[in-house]
Amino acid sequence: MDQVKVDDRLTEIFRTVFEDEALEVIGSTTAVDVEGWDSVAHITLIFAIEEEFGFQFSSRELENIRNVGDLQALVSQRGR
Amino acid sequence: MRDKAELLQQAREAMNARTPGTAVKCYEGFLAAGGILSAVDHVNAAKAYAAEGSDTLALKHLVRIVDLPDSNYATWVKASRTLDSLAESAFESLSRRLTIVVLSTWNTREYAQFLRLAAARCGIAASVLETPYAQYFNFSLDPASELYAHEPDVVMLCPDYRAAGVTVSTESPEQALQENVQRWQLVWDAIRRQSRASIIQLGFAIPAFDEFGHLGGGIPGSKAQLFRNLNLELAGEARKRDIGFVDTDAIAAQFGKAAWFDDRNWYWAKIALSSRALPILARQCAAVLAARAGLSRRCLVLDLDNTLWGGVIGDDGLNGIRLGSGPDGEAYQEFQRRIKALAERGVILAVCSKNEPAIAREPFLQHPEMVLHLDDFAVFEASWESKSVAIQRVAQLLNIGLSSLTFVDDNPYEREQVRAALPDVDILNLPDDPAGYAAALAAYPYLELPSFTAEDRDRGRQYRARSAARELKDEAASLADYQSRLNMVATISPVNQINLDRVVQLINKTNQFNLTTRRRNREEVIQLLAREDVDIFLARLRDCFADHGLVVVAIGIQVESSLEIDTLLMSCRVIGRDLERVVIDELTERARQRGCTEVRGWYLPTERNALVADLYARSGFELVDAEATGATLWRRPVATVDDHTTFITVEKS
Repeated sequence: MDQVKVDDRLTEIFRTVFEDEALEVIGSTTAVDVEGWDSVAHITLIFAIEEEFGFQFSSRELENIRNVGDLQALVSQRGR
Repeated sequence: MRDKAELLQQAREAMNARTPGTAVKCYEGFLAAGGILSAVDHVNAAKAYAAEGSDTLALKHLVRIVDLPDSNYATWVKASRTLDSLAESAFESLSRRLTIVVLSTWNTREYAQFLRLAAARCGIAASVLETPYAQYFNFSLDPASELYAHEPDVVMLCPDYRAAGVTVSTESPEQALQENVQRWQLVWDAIRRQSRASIIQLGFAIPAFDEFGHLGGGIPGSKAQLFRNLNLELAGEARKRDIGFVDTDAIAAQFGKAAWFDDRNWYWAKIALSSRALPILARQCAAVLAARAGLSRRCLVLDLDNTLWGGVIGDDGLNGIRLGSGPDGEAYQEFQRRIKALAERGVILAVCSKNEPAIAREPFLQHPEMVLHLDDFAVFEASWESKSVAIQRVAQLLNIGLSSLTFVDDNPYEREQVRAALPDVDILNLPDDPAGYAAALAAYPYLELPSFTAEDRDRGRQYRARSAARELKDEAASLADYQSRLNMVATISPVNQINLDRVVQLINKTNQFNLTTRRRNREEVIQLLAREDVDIFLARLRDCFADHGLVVVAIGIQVESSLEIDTLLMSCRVIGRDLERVVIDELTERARQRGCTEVRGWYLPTERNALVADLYARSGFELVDAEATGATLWRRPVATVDDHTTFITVEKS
């Protein structure tokens, strides 16, 4: 998959979930960097990403997500 | 003129550039050009309107996503968040205000947000309050709990099979069942004792797998059996006590239980179902809420061609329409069966078709595969007018509000026309393929009945009887009422270079509403214009639905002290509104200005104009002469005051 497109689609989801049309995320962005990224928002994020890219994260994968970069990598690998 | 695709692209660009004012203009242009927005575009349009301070319009766009097939979880997230940001004033356009308290065994935070959006779609401004989950038992029993402090209009009970404290016992399954039922009844009784809230009880969604495997369904006391029986018992008991029961298990089955259940959501956040299924549940529960608030739709207004049968009866004829055999024909027939079943449980049926009435009726009278018959319908509107006009008439004749109607039509352009003209009428989104019609109707949740009694079954019959009686006796009253609301304006103008061609056209092609059928060519009309003894004018008519354009031509010729009506003709498009009386008034005024003492006119009969044989009699003229040919001459003194009621405002230009 085209990484740029993946990143764009992911950014769009972040903007929706965190209600910030100007939000930019990069590989090193973590939960503490984004206002409102609590456990509930995290769930919304995960479900929205799964819906958009057509796959489901495994629990192990989810446990190992430290930052947005990890998400981008997983999505490129698993997503459609 | 930018085309639709361009406008939409520009709207999207404007949103990205954070210029919502431009975006709003582009969206409006797109819609005015007949464009249909996707779910995502509706949400973006809503955000644009909200940014511009038009919260009511923002709400109008947000509620659209509730029913669109391309709405998904992300759409609902965005839409419900935008909804939460709107001012209170935006909700004033909704017809009912309800405070809903959700008592649940799972985390309903996001469900509550979705419920608020779905409720808004149904016309309800909902304040949805949650209580700490799994406190439903304590909260309902304790009179001092915050549940009652909120003074709810509705209490929604949302249990989940994992945490509802349901006891399972294979040894004494019957006892286990009764214990569980009673536990819930205690909750209901407590709520009833301590508040006036309406209660909605969600049933249990039952996971597909059981510890007994595929045998689970057949073993008494297995979890699957217990929950199934519990659902049945609760549904029955709820009905006896006027509690609304939502069959969550059926909803989950329809969605697909594999996708409905997501244990991860339970482990992470104690949410009972997949987040992607939350919108589905919210939409169904909102429909039940609406039904219990009396906001259900009560009448299906049905198109005919390509809706009740395949093809166009006017073109294809009885043998050409597809109904009954072949995959298409079977699909249409099944659709008719489902509609008939709805009628049998109390839904009123009406037809609204663009057709000649006799042709529209043919399949009902002669096609052997028709399931629906003429007497299934309370109203049968077949005409060439716009659907929104015809639907208005349906509502009038049935004496029910537009917000009780759902319009069913295969043609998306007709659907959008009605949606734009009559926003209170609901629209059923039929898919392109008729094979999907029956399912689309089954999935339409806004015909939910709050209860079902013998009266409901009879209601359809009552409406048909009532409407037939009304058509015979009260037509004058309902027509007058209808016309008074049309805001009709007639504009009387002189003939000029610009409208001359149209005037000549009318003079030469109008056959029915034409007193004398005197044909003149362009030259002859121009000569008339030059004459001192001639008054020639035209009239335009517009009403709240459309501008009908130039519809009347009148020619009066002075002969001594009479003004003779040489020509009075009218387009058949606007027959039946008494516009001719307005025209005669104008001719009388012209006569007065000339110092004439009377207005006269002939009626010259032809094969086509019997319609106007009595026009002069109706207008207070007296008969002067009658000839063997059937021609009649009439007169009316200028001094006569013709006090007829008219709903037409007259302007001169």
